[in-house]
Amino acid sequence: MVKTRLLVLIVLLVTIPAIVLSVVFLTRDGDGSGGRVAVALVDGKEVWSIDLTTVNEPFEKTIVTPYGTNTLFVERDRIRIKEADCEDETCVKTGYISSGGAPIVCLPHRLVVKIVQEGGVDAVSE
Amino acid sequence: MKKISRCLILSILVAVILTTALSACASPSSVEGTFFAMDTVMTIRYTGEEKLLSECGKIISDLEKKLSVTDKGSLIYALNEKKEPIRDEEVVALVKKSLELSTLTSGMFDPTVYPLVKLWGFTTGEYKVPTEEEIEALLPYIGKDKVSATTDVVTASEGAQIDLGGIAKGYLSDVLRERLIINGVKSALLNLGGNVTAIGDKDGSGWKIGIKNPLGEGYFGIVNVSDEAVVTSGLYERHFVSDGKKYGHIIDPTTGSPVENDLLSVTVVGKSGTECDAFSTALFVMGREKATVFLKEHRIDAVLYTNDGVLYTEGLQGRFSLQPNFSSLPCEVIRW
Amino acid sequence: MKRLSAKRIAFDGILTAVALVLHVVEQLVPLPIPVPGVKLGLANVTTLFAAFAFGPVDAGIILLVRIFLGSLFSGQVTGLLYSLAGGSLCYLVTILLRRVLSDRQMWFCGIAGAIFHNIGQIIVAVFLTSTPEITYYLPVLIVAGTLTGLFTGLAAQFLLIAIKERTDLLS
Repeated sequence: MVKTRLLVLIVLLVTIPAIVLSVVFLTRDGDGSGGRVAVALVDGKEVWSIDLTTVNEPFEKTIVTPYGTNTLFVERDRIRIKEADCEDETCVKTGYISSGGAPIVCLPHRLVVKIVQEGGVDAVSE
Repeated sequence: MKKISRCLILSILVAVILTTALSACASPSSVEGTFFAMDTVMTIRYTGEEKLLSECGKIISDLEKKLSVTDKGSLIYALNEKKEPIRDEEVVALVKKSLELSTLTSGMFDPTVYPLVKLWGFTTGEYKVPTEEEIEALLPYIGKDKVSATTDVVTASEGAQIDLGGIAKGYLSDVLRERLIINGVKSALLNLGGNVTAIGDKDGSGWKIGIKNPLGEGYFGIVNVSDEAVVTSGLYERHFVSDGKKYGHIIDPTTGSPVENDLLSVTVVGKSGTECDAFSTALFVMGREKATVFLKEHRIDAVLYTNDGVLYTEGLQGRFSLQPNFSSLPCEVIRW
Repeated sequence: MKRLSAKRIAFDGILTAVALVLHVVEQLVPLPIPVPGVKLGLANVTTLFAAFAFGPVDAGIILLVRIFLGSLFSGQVTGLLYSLAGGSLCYLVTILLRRVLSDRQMWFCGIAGAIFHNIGQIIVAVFLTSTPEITYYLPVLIVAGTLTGLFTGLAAQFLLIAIKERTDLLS
């Protein structure tokens, strides 16, 4: 029989790093460089993208998926899901994302909104 | 019981140390700062120590204080309004350089056009279209021979006024760049109100710099740079419209009026931000034909957005590309 | 209880019913945390209980019935895939651990099961959306799994021990 002490140890060794990593992952802002291209994917296929550095006035974009509808709110360097007709609205509660890192996910609609480093520019010369 | 608590504490410690070490490795110390100076927003992004940021801030404000044409305490103001000679080493060197560049560009870049800039209202915002006479009256005061920069002092003749605005941001970017490099920074991107300077090649693939679309939103092309500056002069910058006609803020020193030619924007890429800044202005004044000749003669890399399409120099081949939604634009290479 | 007796079948039936009720009920309680895939996993109490009280077969059947009927009740087909993935990983881990753990260590099984349930869901999510970035949420889900798993694990544990000690239903 396995000793209970060992079990407690295992749980702690797994949970504590997980807590630390959660905080790190969810608060880190990417490394700030790279283009800020936000991409919306449904079922893994890109349905829309926008280079956030070119946005002057914030605007809304509605994405209609075969599983439901989500409305994005796009600003100069961040984006979020403003409205969704899914049951849990986890995606709406996620709030803004502004650079590579955790994406916004709407599982029921199989929609993911994430920021990619490729395809955008690091700065605009003007 | 003691054994359990010791074990627990030990394992917790190990776990915490491991994860902190891991997360420290995972994120390089990227520093970013934003400053407001010279009438514009300046952002500096680099990988290095945070304390360098305040040093940069000081460099920016010090330089602005010296060069401002409107700040009554600046050295330039004193020279322009009170004819007080400038003895500050840095400013003297910069004025000298600007005069050299003026000669090099046959006067197309001219730091003495300030009286005209004021006449057209670009400094105060009270724009107006002056009469021929008003312009004529000022022309005698324009020209690099009206300013003298010897080894350690700058003086200007009666009625002449200088403005280093056309070269200040470029120069500033060079100074900041040197300061960062001396402090061991290997990767950085500076954006001083649209004047972009890159240190290093980002992650090996170079920095991608978009060039603003002179006719609307977004950028029309991307140029890939490493350890270089990218400066653009364009029609879309400060301008005003009068009687349906658009007047930009870049004055042609020969006519005394804002530039009107076949160029919509000029982007210069090079090692020296100071030179790129001056050249972009000069090339814009020159117009397409003269600019092409100049670029070939001096082997300067640039992208020209003309009335008939885009031209870019041979040195940028493989480094410049048009954006997909501009692919229908005629695009040609200027060969040395 | 090794033989397939009427008692055992009845027990499994009740457990399945309870599992379904818990499954439906927990969806009425929205969690304030905006992370995809976080849920209480209450229905897992029954699977865990069945695994330790009877064995892998009973637990497996209850699990499958709960997943399929449950998704029918909730009306979400996408949910089915996620539940299957999470549920099966959780099940496998539970069955394996059952061999080495005692009744009083069920809580650990609850935690392990919940964590692997979430891992299963993330894997499915990554595949369905081709977005590896979703793994960013893994640490959070591990922490959530630990908490919810502890809760369900303890619940199942107390239930089983209480029944064994105070009744002879499982002798």
